[in-house]
Amino acid sequence: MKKHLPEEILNEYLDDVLDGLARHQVEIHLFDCVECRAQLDALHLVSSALAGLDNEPLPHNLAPAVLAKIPEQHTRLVWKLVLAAQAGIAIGMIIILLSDLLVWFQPQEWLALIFSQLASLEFPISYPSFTIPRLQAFNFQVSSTNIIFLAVSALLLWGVGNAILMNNRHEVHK
Amino acid sequence: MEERNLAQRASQGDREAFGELVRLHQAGVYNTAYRMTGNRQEAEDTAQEAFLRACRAISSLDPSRPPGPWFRKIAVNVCLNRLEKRQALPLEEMLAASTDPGPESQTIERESSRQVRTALASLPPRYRAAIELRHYQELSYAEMAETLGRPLSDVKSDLFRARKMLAERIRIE
Repeated sequence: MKKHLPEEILNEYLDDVLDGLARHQVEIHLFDCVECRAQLDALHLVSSALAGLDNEPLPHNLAPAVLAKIPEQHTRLVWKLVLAAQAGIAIGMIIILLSDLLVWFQPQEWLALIFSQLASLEFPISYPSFTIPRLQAFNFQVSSTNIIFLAVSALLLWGVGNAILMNNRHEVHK
Repeated sequence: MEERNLAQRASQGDREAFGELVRLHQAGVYNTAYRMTGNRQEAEDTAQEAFLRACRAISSLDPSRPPGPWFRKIAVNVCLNRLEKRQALPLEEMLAASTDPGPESQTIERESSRQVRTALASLPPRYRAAIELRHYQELSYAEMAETLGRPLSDVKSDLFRARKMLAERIRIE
């Protein structure tokens, strides 16, 4: 019984990936074998049919729709970082402010103790006399009023910053 | 503007340059998606998704190589994911959707193209991907395996079976 070429070999012959000797052997076999030639013809027919497939015209320009979705993706991380930074600054300022105010108002003893501890924490910058350890020449005298003013400013900045970001986000969605 | 320059700028996050690349390659990506899905609306959605995915992975674009094949490889994978995830539409429904009356239908598709699309749409998604990558993107077997993230032997087997099925179906039609 005559042995036919395996499908894999026929496909590789069609794709022109066989080396010279293998290719030659396939060609010798094809010369004699009607069945394998018919199989190869069918594969050629498929290749020609696929090559003859018309390209479909683009229904419309896709770029605007694609670009409209991109800014949100790019800004998402930045948006989160900015929010986190703003919230961190504001919360820090509120803690400093509260610890200061509660010590003044002499609240419950245990609460006062906590906040007095917070107020007396040894930050790199000491309060109310601000000194930067590595820059002793800079010695800032800051009053509590200034601290409150700074906290309110930070909160306002946070609010305005968020409003701007929300507005931008709304524009992107529109 | 030179495409390499656009790719360079896009890979550095330049949105306008990326937009220009989308304009240049949208027809190729759309046709890749259309051959894979057999449906115009699906092809449009898939092409958009492919570009968005490309944008997220833009840092992996090599500006020294043409970006067209890179976009189309992403499109093939997006199509494959979508086709494998969703319940396959019955063939008749898919073909009906692809020939819905609309502005596109004014283009009279050649009968032979319609037959080939019908045969392609009847193949399992993996087989369609193999045909697309080999016959339209002209990738080698090794590149196909790399693009699809599958063993070389599996990819070759899919391609050969896909051709066999197409040969039977095109002959019948």
